[in-house]
Amino acid sequence: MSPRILCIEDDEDIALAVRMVLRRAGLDVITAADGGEGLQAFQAEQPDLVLLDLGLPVLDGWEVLERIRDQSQVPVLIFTAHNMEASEERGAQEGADGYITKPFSNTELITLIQVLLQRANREA
Amino acid sequence: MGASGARPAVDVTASDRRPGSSPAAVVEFAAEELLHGAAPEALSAVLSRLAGAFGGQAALAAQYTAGRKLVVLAAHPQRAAADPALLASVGALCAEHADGADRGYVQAPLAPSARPGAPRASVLLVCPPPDEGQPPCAGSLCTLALVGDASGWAGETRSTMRAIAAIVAAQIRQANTAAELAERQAVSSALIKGSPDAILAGNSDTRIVEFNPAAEELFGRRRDDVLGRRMAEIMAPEEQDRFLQHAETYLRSGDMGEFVGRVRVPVLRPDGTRRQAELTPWPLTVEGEVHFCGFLRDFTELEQAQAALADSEALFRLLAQVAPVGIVQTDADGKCVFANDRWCVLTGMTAEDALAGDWTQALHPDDIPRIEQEWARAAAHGTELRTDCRLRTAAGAEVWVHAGVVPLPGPDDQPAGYLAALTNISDRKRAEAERERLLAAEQSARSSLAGQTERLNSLLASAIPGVFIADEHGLITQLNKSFCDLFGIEDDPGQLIGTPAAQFVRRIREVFADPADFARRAKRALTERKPVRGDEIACADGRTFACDYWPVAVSGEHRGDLLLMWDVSERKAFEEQRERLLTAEFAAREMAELARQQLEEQNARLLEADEAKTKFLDTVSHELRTPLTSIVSFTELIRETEDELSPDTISSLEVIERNSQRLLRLVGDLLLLRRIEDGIIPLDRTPLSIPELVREVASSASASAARRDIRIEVTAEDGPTVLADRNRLQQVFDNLLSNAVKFSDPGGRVRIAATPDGRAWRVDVADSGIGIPPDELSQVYDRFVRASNARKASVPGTGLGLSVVKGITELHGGRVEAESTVGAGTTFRVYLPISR
Repeated sequence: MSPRILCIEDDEDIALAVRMVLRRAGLDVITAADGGEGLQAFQAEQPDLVLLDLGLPVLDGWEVLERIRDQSQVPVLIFTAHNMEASEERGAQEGADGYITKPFSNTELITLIQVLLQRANREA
Repeated sequence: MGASGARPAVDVTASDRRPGSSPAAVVEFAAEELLHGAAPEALSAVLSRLAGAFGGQAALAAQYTAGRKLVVLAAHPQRAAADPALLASVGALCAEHADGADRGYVQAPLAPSARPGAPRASVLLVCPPPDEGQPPCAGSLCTLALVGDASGWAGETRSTMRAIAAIVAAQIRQANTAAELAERQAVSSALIKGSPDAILAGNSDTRIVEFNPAAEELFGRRRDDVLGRRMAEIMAPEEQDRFLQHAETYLRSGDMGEFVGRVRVPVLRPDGTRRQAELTPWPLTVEGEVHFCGFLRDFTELEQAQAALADSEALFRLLAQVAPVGIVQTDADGKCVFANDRWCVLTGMTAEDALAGDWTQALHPDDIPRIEQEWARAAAHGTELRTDCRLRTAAGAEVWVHAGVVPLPGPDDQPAGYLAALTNISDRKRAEAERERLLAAEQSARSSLAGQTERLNSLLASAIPGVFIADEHGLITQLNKSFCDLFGIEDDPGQLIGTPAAQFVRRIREVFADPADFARRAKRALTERKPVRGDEIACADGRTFACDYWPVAVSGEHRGDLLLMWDVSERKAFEEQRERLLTAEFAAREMAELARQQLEEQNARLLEADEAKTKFLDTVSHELRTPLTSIVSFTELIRETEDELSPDTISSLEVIERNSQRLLRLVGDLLLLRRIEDGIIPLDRTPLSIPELVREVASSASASAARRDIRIEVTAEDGPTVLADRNRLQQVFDNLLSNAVKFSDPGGRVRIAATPDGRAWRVDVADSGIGIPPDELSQVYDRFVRASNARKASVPGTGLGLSVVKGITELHGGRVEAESTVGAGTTFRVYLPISR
């Protein structure tokens, strides 16, 4: 069974692009448009990796990350369009496994996801 | 107990009747025996004889007390006194007798049960006549009981017994009386001995028969020494005759004379000390003989205290009258009970008025609430009140007094009244006001002295002032040369002395700018005779004079006028100049301050604008990045299906890619600058070869340069490495090279040269382009700032490239320099420190 990726991203276009990119790479993708929905999907689908946008409405990405970390050590890759809100240090502190700034190239994204999945498999 | 087991006390079978025992003989014997002594032995003998005379087996003499108790006085035979049956029987008869029998005797058979088997016997019981209507036997002094065969008893038996009982009762009564007397005497004696009053008693012969311990103390004599002496002998000598006389009158006639009520008696003790005693005489008649009895109380101390009190009272009144203070004594309610003359003088009241009311009525109405408050407070603490207040006299005048009010001690710690002493302090108050006035005057004198000193200084500064003095007659008495010089008068001043001042004044007045005004001022000064100091007067020729005027007084009498005058034109000019300078300086300062404020405001505005710009850029870059993410992603996705695309579509896709790359670089540069500014950019430093990096950058730029027919020349010497972030430094040289290419004309040449220069690497990037105007050279590193000629030439660019260059270089501890000639080209120099 192919690895399952949960993408929590409020921008529909980006979510669609991510879905297409990941599917072509042979990954299973579930998308969620906000933090609440994302957490629900996380519990229901038990994904192998989470793509998390920080600039989410209602419940922001940091909070979503905190709740995920309360229950699981699944790899989380965060991406953001903000200049200042995120740094790799903070991401590491809060328990993210990777960090990618928008805009990113598809290849860059796939490469990072595969590295994280391999690492998780090795540790499991 | 022993009796019941022994032989019965009453043996009725035995006969004791003896010859010579007639009733009369028995009574006689009883009288004889009992009168010589009522001892039980004698009574026993009488009882024995009685029994013998009337054939009785036993006889008892007893007292039947009110408590219904039989007390046996004597018995015959002795053991009968201890025979319970007999005693019970007699007791019962006594009770019966007491309950009503009034015949004086009771005769009854002895209870047979008392002695079973014994012959019958009777008891005859008699009592003496009752005292004062008491029933016989009830509390009898003597009851006689005869036990025996009643057949031999007759009336004479009963009368004999009654006679004997009467004798015994009389004896007992006498004994009782004697005992009572002794008791009473003991009490009297104790009273006399213990009395705190001296008790003295004399007989009809005035000889002392009683003298108690208090008397011993009062008279200073011993009882044993005075008993039997005449009373007058122990009196003070001056009293002896009088006492004797009165005592004799009294003793002779019973007339107490002056010994009625309480009499004061002086006592002279043998040791010479004197006491005062108060005598209360008491007439006493003993067996028809008139006695003198006196009670004396020592009141020496009391009298002394009273005298002292009277003395102090008198002293107080005297002091109160002569004291220079108003004194009022009140009772506890504040009502006046005494007021001295001074008080009346202070308040203008008569003594009667003063005594009629409350002293506080004299207080000034404005002070009453305060005084009442203070008094209440003082009274609550039991302390005295001391305060200053005003009185209003009957005439309506106001007097300042210092009031001291003390509570007078009374019983139960409650004040018995108050004593108020009031001192007139109006003078002191006046003195205080005067002192204050003087102090103020001194202060003002001091400040005026300071002013005078200043004026004196200016007088000195103007050399010698002109002096002009006229006497009370208006003639000049003093005039110096300076004064004349001021007014251009060339006469010898000595010649003018003695001439009328008015004439001289007329001569000089024309010098002043306003002669009429000067004349008015001079006239006013001379009339008011008030000192004038430093008055300034303008002259017609532009000079300014200062002038002092002093009236001359000798012993309070006006003796002329003094006028001092000096030229203050120079000082005036100096002051004016100074004023002008000050004004100018002030204006200059104000302008400087204004400029500073404007600059500050400008800075604040710039700062604000800068912040707004930063915020705007943050927002823009964020908003650009999101759509750009989709564009990039989808372009890449389409690229993957290149095989299926037409050549036109591929060209279109390339345009999209190129433009999105441009946007990406812009957004990337912005993010980078933001991070540099905030100092949060992490540098991934590694040892780096600058020549290698330079060659690499040049080669990647050469393709696009070649498209514009521009050649890139690289010169790179070998040298030490630097510790730097490779990607970031690459960005620096990329930016510089792309700029150089961009601003060069086609066919031009761009040169990049790396040289180790001491402690730093120097990398020059030079072009032969349009150049940068010199005044803009320092600003090209600012965000979005582009050289004016670059904008005019429509060379595309964001104005961020050089900002990034400068930011990254400085992060590495280096610096950037630029050198340019418009139209000839520009050279940027990057210095990077060499790692050690």
